[in-house]
Amino acid sequence: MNTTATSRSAFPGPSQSHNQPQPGGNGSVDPAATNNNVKAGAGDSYFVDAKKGEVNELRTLLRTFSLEKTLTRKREIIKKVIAYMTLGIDVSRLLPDMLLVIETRDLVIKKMVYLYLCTYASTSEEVAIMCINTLMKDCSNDDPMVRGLALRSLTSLRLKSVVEYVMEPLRKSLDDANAYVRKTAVLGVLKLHDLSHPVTTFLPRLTELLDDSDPAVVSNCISVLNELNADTGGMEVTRDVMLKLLNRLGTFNEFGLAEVLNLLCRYTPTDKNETFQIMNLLDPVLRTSNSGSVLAVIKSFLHLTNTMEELRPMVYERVKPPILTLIAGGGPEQIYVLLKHVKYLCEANPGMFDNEYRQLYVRYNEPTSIKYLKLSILPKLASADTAVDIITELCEYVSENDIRMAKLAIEAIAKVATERACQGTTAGGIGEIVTGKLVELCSLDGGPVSSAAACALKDVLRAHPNSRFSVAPVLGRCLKLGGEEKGKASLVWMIGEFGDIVIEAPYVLEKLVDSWDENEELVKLSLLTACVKLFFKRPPEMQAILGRLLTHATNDVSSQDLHDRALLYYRLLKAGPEKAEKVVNGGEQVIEPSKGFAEDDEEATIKALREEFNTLSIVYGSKSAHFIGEQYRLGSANSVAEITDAFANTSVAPIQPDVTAAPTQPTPEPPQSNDDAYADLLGFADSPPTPPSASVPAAAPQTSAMNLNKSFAIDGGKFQGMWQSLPEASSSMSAMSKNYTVGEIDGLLTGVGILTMASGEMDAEFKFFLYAQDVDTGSVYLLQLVIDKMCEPRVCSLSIKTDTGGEGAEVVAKMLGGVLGNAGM
Amino acid sequence: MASLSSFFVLSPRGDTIIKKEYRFSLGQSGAEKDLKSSVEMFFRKVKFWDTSKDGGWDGPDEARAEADESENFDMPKVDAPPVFLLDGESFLHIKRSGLIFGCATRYNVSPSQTLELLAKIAKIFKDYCGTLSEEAIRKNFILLYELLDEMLDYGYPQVTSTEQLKMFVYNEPIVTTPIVTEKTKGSNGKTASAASVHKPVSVGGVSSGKSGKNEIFVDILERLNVLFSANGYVLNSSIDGCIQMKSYLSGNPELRLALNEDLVVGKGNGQSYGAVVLDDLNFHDCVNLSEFDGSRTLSFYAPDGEFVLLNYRIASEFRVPFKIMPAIEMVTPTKLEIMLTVRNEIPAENYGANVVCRIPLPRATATVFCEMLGAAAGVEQTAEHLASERVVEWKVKKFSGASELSMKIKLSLDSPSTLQTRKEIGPISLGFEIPMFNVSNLQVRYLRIAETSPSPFRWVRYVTQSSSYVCRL
Repeated sequence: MNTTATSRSAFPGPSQSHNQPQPGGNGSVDPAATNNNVKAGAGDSYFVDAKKGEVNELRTLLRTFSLEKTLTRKREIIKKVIAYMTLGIDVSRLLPDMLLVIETRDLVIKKMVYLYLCTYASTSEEVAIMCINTLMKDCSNDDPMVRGLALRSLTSLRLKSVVEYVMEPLRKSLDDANAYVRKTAVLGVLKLHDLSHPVTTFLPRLTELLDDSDPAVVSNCISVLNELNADTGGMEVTRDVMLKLLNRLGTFNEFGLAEVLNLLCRYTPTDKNETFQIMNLLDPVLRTSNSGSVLAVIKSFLHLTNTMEELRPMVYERVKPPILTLIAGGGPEQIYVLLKHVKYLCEANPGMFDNEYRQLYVRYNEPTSIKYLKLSILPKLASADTAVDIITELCEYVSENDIRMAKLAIEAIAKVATERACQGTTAGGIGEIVTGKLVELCSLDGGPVSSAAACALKDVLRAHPNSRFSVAPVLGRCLKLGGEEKGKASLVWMIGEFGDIVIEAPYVLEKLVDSWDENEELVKLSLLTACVKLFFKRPPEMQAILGRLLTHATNDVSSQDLHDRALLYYRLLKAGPEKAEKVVNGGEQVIEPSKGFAEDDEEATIKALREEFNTLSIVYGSKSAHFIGEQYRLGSANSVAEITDAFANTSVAPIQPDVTAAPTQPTPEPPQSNDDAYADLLGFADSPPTPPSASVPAAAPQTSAMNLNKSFAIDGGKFQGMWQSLPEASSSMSAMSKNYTVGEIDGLLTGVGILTMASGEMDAEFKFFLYAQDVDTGSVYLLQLVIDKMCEPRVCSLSIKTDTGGEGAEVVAKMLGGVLGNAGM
Repeated sequence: MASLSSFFVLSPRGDTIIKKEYRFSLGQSGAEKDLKSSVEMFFRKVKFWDTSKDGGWDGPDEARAEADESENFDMPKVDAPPVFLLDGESFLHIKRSGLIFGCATRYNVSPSQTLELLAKIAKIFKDYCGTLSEEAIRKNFILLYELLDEMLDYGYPQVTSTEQLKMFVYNEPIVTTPIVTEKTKGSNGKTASAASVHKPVSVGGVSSGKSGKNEIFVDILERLNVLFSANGYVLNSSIDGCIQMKSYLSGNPELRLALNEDLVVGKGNGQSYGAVVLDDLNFHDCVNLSEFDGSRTLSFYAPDGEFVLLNYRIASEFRVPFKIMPAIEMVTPTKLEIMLTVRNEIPAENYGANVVCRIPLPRATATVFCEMLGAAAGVEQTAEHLASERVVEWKVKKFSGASELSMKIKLSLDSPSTLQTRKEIGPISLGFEIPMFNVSNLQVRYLRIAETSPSPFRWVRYVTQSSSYVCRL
């Protein structure tokens, strides 16, 4: 296949003209081109004809179908068509012939034809419509298998024009006596929805089916309701539904179980007792050999203990053995994912796997993806007690044949010295051990291993400056060994940094300066820095060298960066060496070993990822918002669930915890213009932070063009229903001028007649469900306001739904914006 | 939301053998994105995994090899991770018998659950085809599509158990004879595990009597991870064990399987001398554990086909079956002698099969001469220098218990031996299989089948295998 593809793309022109032969046009064609045409065209046409030939042959064969006597021969014919389809050959042209075969009682043939239809129906809608009758007839066949099969195919055709025909069989099938048909129908609703056909009429039935006797129907129902309600965070989770599902947990297969456990992560038990009951119920699942189920239970445990921090250590202790057992017994793919979760748990809960560090040593027969992953976990397991063992083990990996492995092992060794293990009294000792090992590797042979060790050494010394005395004597010798660019640059940097104790420093650097052109860019850059720093420490020895260096560097046209940096140093020095020293040496920065480097600071991510435990986010180490398309995400699942749950149980707007804080004088911090400028520069804010509007909240009602009914009331169920059924009328985003609390916002909005249904404060955002009624027209507006606390200034996004068909939504949005003093809402 | 956009099976060369699309996604241009091209892209990515730019999401500290490693030093192939992001879609895959079972999704699915699903699909394909190979899948593709249709609908998992699927399946499997390569584990008849029974499950509609015997295979399989220091001291050791079954019992009767009564689970639980202590274990979904705590008995309705009844893990010390004792001597600066002794410490009535010992040699190796010492008559062994891999491979077909074998490797080097040269030797790895023996002493006391009328055949086997069995130098 590959060769044909390349040969075709090599002659794009000719093959095109071959496909559209122009009668009588031959005479005017350039002879060379014709020649070319013939050559390339011949090869191409052979390919096309061959394909056409095959498909034509199939067609002939299909026409003999009805003449064939035996079933096996008939099956063989259809099988051939499917075989071609699988090979990627386009057999869509056989659609009319395949339709003739559809009337058959043989289920094997039927299934094959349906498979074909689901693949090709959308290529030619008009022709495909001919199959609808048969499919509809099969939907009321006596055999439930046939009914289910037909319905599945009917809903999988992806033909907008037949959607109308599907509604009726679908409605009937949702009530079918057979669970197989019902479960197929449930997914059918979703398929219809994805063809942008309204399915609201089915919603009540779907909700009923959550109680179905068959667990497969129920789990499909959960999936479908979750997707239909994706923008409000998924299916509504009430106590009633949740407890019913939990009570029959044992009947679900592992995938149904996963669905239920996912729902559980959006449910908050009413009291501690219930929490414990649920946890006891889930505990046996930890003993199963399905890694997905075990991780789902762990996620549920983490969620259930959200408000009970004191239970967390017990949870971690409980889930540790099952994870390790799964790692011991699973396939390499599962192990990879589990290890990613182990890594996350080590970050979220340092120390959790410390005493099991031997279980996570690299094994020689593992895939490299697992080996490399383990290398990134091992330093995280190093505590004061285990650090030495782990360093020794990592050193063994350095001598592996795999050079990547060796480099990663060196990085890992350095990490032991810069991370958690180095807190407290043992820090110096571990730093010294690591430095010793790295120095040994560094002075090895000037190969890639030595270079990697040099890079690592530089980082370790930033955290353990006291170890510099054991490093200083060997730096010059190491540099002589040569090595990779990065390694050499690190060595040069260290020579400059610790030049006061590296006796031969000026001579080593001088050599490099005098062979300027032979150095790589990175080496040149760090040579510049090193020489300038050394100049401040040992001016008499360095003056002449520095002069030569600056001449070289400013004349070097190979790198703009180099040129500019040289000029900067030159001008600084011109302004006076003292001033220059202040700038260049600007304060010693020793890295706090326990904190690690700034770029490694992942605390915010760790917190955000807890919500996304047991998802791809943990594997990628990044929030889902960064890699999952908007339409494929549940609208911030957790937060909404808490709110919807709150108003499912009560028809009164729940009291916000912050409401007592409302009377206190709002003390908005004046936005610091500097910060704003930076934020804007880096594009942190979703919308450009405009200067806060002058209008103070009190003046806001001026902008209102609508009189809102302040005593209007609506209950939670109705709100929920309307919110689901109404289309979005308006949505907007804007920056907020002040950092209000939940209570303040509630107060301000109530003042103008925008009332709160429910509100809540999450880790990263405030969320409000609001409603309002226009006194004059009586129309109702439902609002969802989400304020992102992480941004500075805060950004709020507002979406409005209304029964007016969109009229007035903008006015309400303006009013809200005015009250909150938002710019550009 | 955990729905898949597509599922596919690829051959080792990257040809699509089975594919099915569930969610038709819109590409950037608005046109439907071609599954074929994205699968091709996926395959290229898996085949030539580039650690330097792995989608940008793999943690900053992991596998960040620089691009300037063009010198092609010693670059073993890098294995692609089983989960990665490609062009807005997440691809998950598992490898089974050289085939790639993969899927794509746009949702933030649970990766473990999805990989379990892929593994399940692979298992079911194997159950129905009898064996998992490119040929078997190509021959049975209609059957497999039929199965797939019932297992996944619109990207959501549906029926995924072998016996339930029987109701829906009308095609009959076409049995292919597996190609017995030298690499196939257990070329030795006795060590062949239950997994090597290449027989498809009987398919619904067709009477089960046709497929013949009413039988069940039980394997107690232990894989050993042992790490020795140069002086023969065990640095780290663990056992990954499992009880694996393959059931062809008609009518899925209830089974009762009893383990050692003195079995102790968990460290630090009061243990008597000689008891079998497991760190932890987990069970298949089908197992009823009500009697486990009392009498160490499991009851379950065995699902059809292959399944793992339970997995266990032992991290405490145990008697290792093989001891590796190496010694290196520098004769002259350019001549080294490696003396290697392997002692089999299992009882004399047992033996290690297909023992393979691999000794990596330094880069500077010029010539190699191997000499096998003191072998008793009848020991079938070979030693070979594989220059391309820079290892000596020493194979012993049958290594009797309570015996010892030695070998001397004489090396001459291109350049005088340095510290680095010495470091390049090793680690020595040992691969083996010990039939009818297990290290942990975990025993199946009995396996009872409720319906006894046509007493089924029960094949119970113990096998010990090496996993990562390594000696450092």
